[in-house]
Amino acid sequence: MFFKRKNWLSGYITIEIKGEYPERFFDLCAKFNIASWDIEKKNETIAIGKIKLADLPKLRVVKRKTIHKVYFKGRNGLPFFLHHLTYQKPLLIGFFIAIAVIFFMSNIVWRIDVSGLDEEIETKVIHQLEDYGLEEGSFQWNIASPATIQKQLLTDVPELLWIGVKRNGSAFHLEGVEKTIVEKEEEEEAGHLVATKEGVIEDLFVSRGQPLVSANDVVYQGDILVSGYLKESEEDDDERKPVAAEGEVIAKVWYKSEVTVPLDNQYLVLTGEMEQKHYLHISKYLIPIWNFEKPEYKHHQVDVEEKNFYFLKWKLPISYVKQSIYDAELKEEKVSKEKAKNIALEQGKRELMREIPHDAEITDEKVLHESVESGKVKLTLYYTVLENIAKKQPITQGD
Amino acid sequence: MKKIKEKFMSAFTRTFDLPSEVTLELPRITMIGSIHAYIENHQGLIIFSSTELLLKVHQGHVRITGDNFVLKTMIDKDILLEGNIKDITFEKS
Repeated sequence: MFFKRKNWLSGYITIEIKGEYPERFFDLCAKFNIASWDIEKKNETIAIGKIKLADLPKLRVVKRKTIHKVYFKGRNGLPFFLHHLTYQKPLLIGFFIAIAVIFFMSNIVWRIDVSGLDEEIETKVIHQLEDYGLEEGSFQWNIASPATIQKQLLTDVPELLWIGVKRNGSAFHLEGVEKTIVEKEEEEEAGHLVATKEGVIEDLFVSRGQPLVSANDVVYQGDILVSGYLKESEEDDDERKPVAAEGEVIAKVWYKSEVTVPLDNQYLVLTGEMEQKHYLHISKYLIPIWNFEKPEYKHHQVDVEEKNFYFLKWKLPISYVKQSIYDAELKEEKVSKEKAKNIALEQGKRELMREIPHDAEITDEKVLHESVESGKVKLTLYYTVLENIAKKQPITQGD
Repeated sequence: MKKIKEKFMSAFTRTFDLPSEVTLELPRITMIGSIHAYIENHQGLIIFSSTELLLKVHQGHVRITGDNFVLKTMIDKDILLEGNIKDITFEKS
């Protein structure tokens, strides 16, 4: 059975042999390595049999050696079937139209789901999506990637805290979280205030609890600043009921940081000139379809944008790639030592600001050490910062 | 000379227990009931019709008779015969 199936794929021919002892023709075929099958003798001078299409050239050689006459009776198999199909133009055209329609349909956005949002914000999000060109019925290749949509939505709809955009074949699923002002619950849990950093106490604002430290005390990380136990009683420990200590403890905290700034600066500046190249990306080959020239930029920066095509739910291995090549200019800048120092100071401050809380205040800034090494200015900076170092720590009550 | 070689080969085959169809160039005929006959190692087809098949084999002929004969496959040295097989005879020449 498998033998037949295989032959159907490669194609086979039915031949009729006429002449004395026609079976000997097939014997000769076998000697010339031509496999034949379904051989039947119709009468004394006629026999029919089947051979592979691929053996046809060999058959011609055999034919020359015999006195038999060979007639082709039937052609079967895929090659003939395909050949036959080309004559059936309407069928073929219909088939290609169907494929094309399915292909186009697969690249259309069919559904947009938004979940987790109020109706008001939901409509706002949907309107915003329409502005980006994403609505039901639009083509997927005009749409930016989900990640960019996500970013754009977050900036354009301020009510959103977070939104997830996911593409599932021809449907988009959006899942959002709104910004809501959560009423800060009164923390009733009893606890101390402890120090988060090492420092010297500058000021205390205690609204509840018993302060254990006073101004100008040195505290270390983990020290209890304000106790939850209201007063030191000499009576039974069980009598003392802890409260939730509250307050701010402003302390002087010191930070040390090292900043290096190179004296020679090299950076790329885009000149504004650009070229766009379009490619078809088939598996791993990039085939240019528009703009074949290679721009003669000395330095350049390339942005790649890729659009995928879908067939039903499958991603096709073909995609469209747009490359934007920007001309860039290499700029070199020599910085004087003074200027480099200023840059370093600024940079150090910026880095520090990122580390400390917003309400903290930098009171002092000192340069401890300054050196120039292999074209770089190295600064060791020392900062004094006033900040709240109190942190709530619940009292664990053994029960 | 030929006789001596043949005697030697059959002795050789017996001693080493080799498959005789290989060493002695004999045909191997496998039958499934009376509907299929698979003949390997023949040396040529002489006559084929819907009632008869005559094959040349080593030192003679094999004649298969019956009716509705069709050669299902025919490759270099193998033949698969399908039909209603009635008789197989070996004819020494």
